[in-house]
Amino acid sequence: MYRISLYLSSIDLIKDLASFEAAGIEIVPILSPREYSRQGNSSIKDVGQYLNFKGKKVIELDGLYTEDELHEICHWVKMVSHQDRIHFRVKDLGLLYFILKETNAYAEFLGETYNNSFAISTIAKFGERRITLIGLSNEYSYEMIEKVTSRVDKDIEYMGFGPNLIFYSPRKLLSPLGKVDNFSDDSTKTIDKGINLMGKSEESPHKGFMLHEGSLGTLMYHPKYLNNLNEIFQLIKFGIHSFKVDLRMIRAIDTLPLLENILKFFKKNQNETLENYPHFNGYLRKNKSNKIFHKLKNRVFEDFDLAGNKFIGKCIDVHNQKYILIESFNKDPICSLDIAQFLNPNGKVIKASLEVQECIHQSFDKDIYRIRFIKGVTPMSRVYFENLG
Amino acid sequence: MELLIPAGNMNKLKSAVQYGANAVYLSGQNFGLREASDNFSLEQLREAVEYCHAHQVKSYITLNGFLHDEDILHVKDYVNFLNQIKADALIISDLGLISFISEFNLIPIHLSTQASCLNSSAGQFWKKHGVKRLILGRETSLAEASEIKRDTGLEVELFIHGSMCMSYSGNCTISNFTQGRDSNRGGCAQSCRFEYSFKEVNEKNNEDKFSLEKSKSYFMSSKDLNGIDLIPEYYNYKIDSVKVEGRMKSEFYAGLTAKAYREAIDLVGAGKTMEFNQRLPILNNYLNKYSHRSYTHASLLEKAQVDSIYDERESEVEGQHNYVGKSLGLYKDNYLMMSVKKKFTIGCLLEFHLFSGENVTTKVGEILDLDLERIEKPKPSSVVLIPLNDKIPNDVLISLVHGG
Repeated sequence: MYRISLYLSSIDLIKDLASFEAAGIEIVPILSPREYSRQGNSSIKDVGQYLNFKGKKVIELDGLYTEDELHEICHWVKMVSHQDRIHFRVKDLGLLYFILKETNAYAEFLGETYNNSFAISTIAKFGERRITLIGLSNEYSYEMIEKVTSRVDKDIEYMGFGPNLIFYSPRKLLSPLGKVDNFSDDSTKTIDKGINLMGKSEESPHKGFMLHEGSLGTLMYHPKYLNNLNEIFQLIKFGIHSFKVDLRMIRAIDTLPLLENILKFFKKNQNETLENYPHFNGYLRKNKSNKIFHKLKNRVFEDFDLAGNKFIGKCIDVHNQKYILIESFNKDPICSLDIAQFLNPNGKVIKASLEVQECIHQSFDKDIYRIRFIKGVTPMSRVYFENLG
Repeated sequence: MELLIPAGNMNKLKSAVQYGANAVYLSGQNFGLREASDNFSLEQLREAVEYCHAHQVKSYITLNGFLHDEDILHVKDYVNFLNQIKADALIISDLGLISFISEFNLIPIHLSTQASCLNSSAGQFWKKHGVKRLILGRETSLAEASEIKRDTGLEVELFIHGSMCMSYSGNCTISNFTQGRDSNRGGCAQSCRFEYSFKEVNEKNNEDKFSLEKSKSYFMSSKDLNGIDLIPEYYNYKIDSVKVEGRMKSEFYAGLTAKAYREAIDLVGAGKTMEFNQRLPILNNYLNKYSHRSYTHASLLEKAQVDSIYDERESEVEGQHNYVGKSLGLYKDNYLMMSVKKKFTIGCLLEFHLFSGENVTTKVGEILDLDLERIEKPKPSSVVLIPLNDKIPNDVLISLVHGG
């Protein structure tokens, strides 16, 4: 049995889901009240109607909340949580803590910024039986998923199909750009419908972003839908039994035909096409771990330190082939005939005997020496005494 | 109240300490958020912590990236090393890392702002997991910070100055998708500062249309935070530590910011509110000497609004001064020895930023090398002599006054 956490653009579409029932698949429509969720598909006023549908009830409250906002939400959660076996799907640790401590409700945790199995297992232990599901970041590779599912005895969810969030701002960034008489001055309208735009930058290689603004701020999505539908049965082998399918940005008229197509992937394990929806295939086969940006600026220094060479100081001037100034942090004085290694900023090492002309400055934390010019040494090179051990 | 200043390398750390920081935060080569900063090698970290302790300053080491399993497995030796050199705190955002090191780490843990802790309930969660101080998200107001401190019994640290993320910290991955650089593991490419253009995608009918006044905008770029005038509020709300952002910024920034905030905190702390108010324009002037975006209070008093967006190109930002070097002490009694960072010329006006009190300015009459031969334009990364009557201490920051 596996589950589809389904996000629809409107609560009105839920009633049509009965026709999609299939053995072995549980479709759980998620209610996202726009008052407290990042991208709402309903209002808190719709909860009563939602609770009348049969099946599991999951209300998503996926914002991050400041103290004042959390007070208001907690008040609402407490009222709603009396409903039998209601699940709240949350991201904010404060809201999670409140639900577990102050209500009897169950929680699903969206661990989208948690990139390791240690964090996920800590959350799982903290919630014990009351956390029933943990959603993973869309960036997880198979290797990372396996680490989580082998450590954590919970239902673990991964993205099946939907827009891939890459930015979440607490501020409303689009409203101020609009004409006063149209959108920006009418906050009710913004909250009700949200703003959807396509953004694009000339200054970086990306092609564009889908932008959505609702009551909790502005969200930015990858321009294509993340599609892992061809990977479903492989994911199941790796311990994933719950899949997020997010159709909130799909027009109501197109939703059910698309859902029908998507379900074919779950039912038949055969390749369907989703030609009308530009998509990309995610990160499951790439371990992005090895793609961290490393500026190696200081690593060569670290290697030098680790080799046991004694750091003396820096060349602060190399003057017209006449002299070099060394700023020394060494407690012992530098003397003529000392053998030093100069590590230039480009990584080149010059080894030379020193000829000290004078100590031109002494203070409690550093001395400055003037030494005879040495060919190849450049300003800002680091000076070491060699490890002779 | 603690003044916490960023230290991207040893020079910045020394400036921060000399100009009045109570604590500095710095990073080793790995596990931080600023891979492009110089950062510190292990030996430099040891040296930095010793230097701080010799000056009664605390040193907090950042390990605030969101780590993957393989990163975490490599962190044990590093944390043991930081225990050994007696770092005063670790700044961590990753719950997995906190839980992994809890068995052997002896250093207090400060929760990084990357974890976006915005409420006392979240604070309670982190307290249960061993955190001693909360570095609150930049969306938290002063009043909320005070409430969180009261409800959790934890120390709270709140940003007071520097660049701002437009996203909730830790929730932006634009760099991952556009540049292949992991935003939350040291590779942020500052995509929020780029110019963006827009087009409609919701064109079903005219009523739904979002008509743009501008088709292009720097809509994601935030103004810089400046809360110096709110120091009395920070005191009233009993904030434990005020934090300045900017490990990537210059030692000039570290020094001047430390100097301005040191004086402000000391005046307000001593109850000299009237004197603080009188000095405020001068202190703000310090903060205008280096390049910065327009300033804002962001969310310190109320939720950041439209006026907190810096809708301008980055290159248009300019300070009143250019940082040109640092004093190295007297040479043969009559000359100030100066380490040069940027070019300046004879006839220009230099300002010497003393560690406390009023600065000294002088018009450059002559520039010499150590053989007392005249130089017209000194090169960066060199040492020159300037004849000077005033006595200038070592390591004083020197700037070129624009239009001087």
